[in-house]
Amino acid sequence: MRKFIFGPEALLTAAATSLGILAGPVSASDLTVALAAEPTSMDPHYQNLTINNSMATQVYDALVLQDVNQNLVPGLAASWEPVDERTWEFKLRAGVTFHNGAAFTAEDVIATMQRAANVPNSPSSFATFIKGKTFEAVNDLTLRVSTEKPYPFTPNDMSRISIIDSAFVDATTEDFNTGVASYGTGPFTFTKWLPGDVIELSRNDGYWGAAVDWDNVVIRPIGDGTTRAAALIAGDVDFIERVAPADLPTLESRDGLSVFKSVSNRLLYMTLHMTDDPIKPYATDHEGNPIASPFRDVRAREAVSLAINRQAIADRVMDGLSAPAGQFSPEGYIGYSANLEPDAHDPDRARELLAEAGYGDGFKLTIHGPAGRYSNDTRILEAIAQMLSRIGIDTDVETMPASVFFRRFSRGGPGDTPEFTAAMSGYANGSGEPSHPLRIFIHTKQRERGYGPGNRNGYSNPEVDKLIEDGRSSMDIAMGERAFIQATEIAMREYALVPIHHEIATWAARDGIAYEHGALDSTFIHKIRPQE
Amino acid sequence: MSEAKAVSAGRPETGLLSKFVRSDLSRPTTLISGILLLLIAASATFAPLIAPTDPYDLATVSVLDGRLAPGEEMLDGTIAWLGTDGAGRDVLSAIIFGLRTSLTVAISSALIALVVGLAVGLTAAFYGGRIDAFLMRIVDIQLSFPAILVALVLLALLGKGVDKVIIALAIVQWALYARTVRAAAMVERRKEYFEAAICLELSNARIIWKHLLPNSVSSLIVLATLQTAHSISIEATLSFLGVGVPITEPSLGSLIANGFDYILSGAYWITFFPGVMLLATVAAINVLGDQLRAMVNPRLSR
Repeated sequence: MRKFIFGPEALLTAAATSLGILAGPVSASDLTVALAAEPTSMDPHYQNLTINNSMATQVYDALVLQDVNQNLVPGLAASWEPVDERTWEFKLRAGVTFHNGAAFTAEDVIATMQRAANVPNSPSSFATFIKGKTFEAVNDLTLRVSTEKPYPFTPNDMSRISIIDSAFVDATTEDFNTGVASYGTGPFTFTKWLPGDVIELSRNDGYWGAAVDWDNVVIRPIGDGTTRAAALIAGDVDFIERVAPADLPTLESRDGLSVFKSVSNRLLYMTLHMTDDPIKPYATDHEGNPIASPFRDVRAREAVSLAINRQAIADRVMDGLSAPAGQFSPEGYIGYSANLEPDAHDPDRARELLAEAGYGDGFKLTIHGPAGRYSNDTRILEAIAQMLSRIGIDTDVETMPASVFFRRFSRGGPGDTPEFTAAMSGYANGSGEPSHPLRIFIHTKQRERGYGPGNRNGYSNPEVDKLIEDGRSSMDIAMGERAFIQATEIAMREYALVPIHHEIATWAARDGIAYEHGALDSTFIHKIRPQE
Repeated sequence: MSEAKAVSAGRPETGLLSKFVRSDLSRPTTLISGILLLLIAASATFAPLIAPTDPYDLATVSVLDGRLAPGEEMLDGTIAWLGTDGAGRDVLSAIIFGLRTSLTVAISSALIALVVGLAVGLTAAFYGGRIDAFLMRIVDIQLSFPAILVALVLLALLGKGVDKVIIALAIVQWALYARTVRAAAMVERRKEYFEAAICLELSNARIIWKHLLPNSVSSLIVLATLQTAHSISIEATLSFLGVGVPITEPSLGSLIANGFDYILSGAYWITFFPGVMLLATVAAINVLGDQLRAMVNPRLSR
């Protein structure tokens, strides 16, 4: 006799049976994947968007590839090295052909750079990785890239650009969407894209690397998390990304399914205003009179960090899907410092620190944050408000739609200055360039030089600035990395930001499928393999 | 003296309230609704005295108490009879305080909208012509947008806060009152007592205030009652969508929204109990409003 259980599982199964429209796997060597979103285009140079980029890596290769932790690994370039202070030389892989049979040479790279920097109507252009660089083909398989100043991140930038066949340098975005021009060198060939419905890929048997195992891959966009989980349970799809936290226990406990989790590089942090110019209305005394930001004092910033019970947020708010953080990078990711631990929860010490900073009686504070931008963002803000209230900071929370929040966060104050005294936001290093978070958030704000555009709290330390700038202008990569880690350590100990946690990314698949995952929360189809 | 005689025919029916109470008590549904509403109003008014905990005091609410099932004990020893929500608030206390927010918002916005609508409607009906046309086109424009859409846009501009929700709800509702009162006043204008008042050359203000207003207002009272219920729902919707009251001071709507994400994981009580309360409040007000309407409208009276 079958028992009727009305619970989450019953709901999921019911939803799954109503999803009969999805085609099941045809054979063992075919794979059906449900993703949370679909690309805005199959043109690899149309828009610099995470989902577009991860889809592009299936069909195209870049000169330099990134592994799951965004470390650089050889791609269409077998090796690269600086030949002088301003020039990188890339040795291209020999014997590589595009899906249409054309041979890959340095000319294709140069043609690609021309096209990628000039795609009409691009919402966010790849030109940022290309401008300021001169490309020169020394011979068919040697390419030199020079910059005006010493620039160690040329290989990182090159990892962002998908290489196309030079025959399609003038192809339109539409040509790539329909497949007329979609010939890359990647592990899959492009079969078709029906927007909103399906993307189909087939194996590239002539791939220069390890060939993928699937003959055909069908990718379906399913926006709703519970529907995705239901499709997996019903067997309509073999693999899904972004399991909704509420569905996770169901999927984990179910036979025949496996769940993959990894700490992503998406960091949630608090930023605390550190100057008294201007005095903002969001920190006040108990009578409501605005006071200069208490967070000018590093002890008050440390008090905030110690007041936050990161483990409680992970357990009770995030359902276990976050890892307490003490710096930008999760362990194993570029720029990680083994010397920085997440602050332990210590409300008593926090109260002492507040008293030492001269705020023994506490003060009133409004913290701001976006609603619906990050996983559980408003709940985390609420939990932080509770925790701060407990050490004597009488805290209010104001949340707003993300578009409103980010405008006010950056320039809502007088003279287009950042508006808030204390705010929560998120960051993920999209490009994998190791100095990125330091240049954006930590360096003293010097807009005209491109430093500190995200430095909204006035943090400034000349020693840290020097380390960042030295690292960014040295062609010695290892020395640069040491400088960045040292800068991170100083800045985090001065609470330039208060890290809260890294989100944990999730995937789920039917048994017999393995997924190689790392700090990136996007999905790479070619990393999905049959289990040995 | 002569004025009193001339307009005596136009005096509004007196004793609406006593008539209401008498007829109200004669029907069980209205009796129950009445008692329910009194209880709701009383618990909202005396929330700090009744509620077991203060759900707005962040120094005592702890996320470690989050999602306790009904009847479980919180860290400080209080029993959470209706469970706790995701932030660790006692759901019972949060409902009592949330009712307070919801009712405050609904009643204040209904009153403001009523006053504005009354002024506009009477002005339009009394002066007629271009003024009428102008005011009524504004009303048309206002009414052609869905209330929730206008409220969303307004709150996006104004920001969060109870006062802002009240303003937004008043703005989306005044036009309805203006339209209703104008219609009633247009009818009154054609009556003889009104012409008599004009012939006596009473001042415009006096005619509007003393004659037009009392005779046009009865249907408005009904509308105001029903609209109060409606604004409770709109406020709940706005808070559900995350643009209403601040998250640390939840109304019924934001409590329901809060719990929505936990439904699949089995924590039904965060949504269920506030939902029942919202339903009960809105239903009670609606039943009473219907009763009022039956009395005011002669065609419906038994």
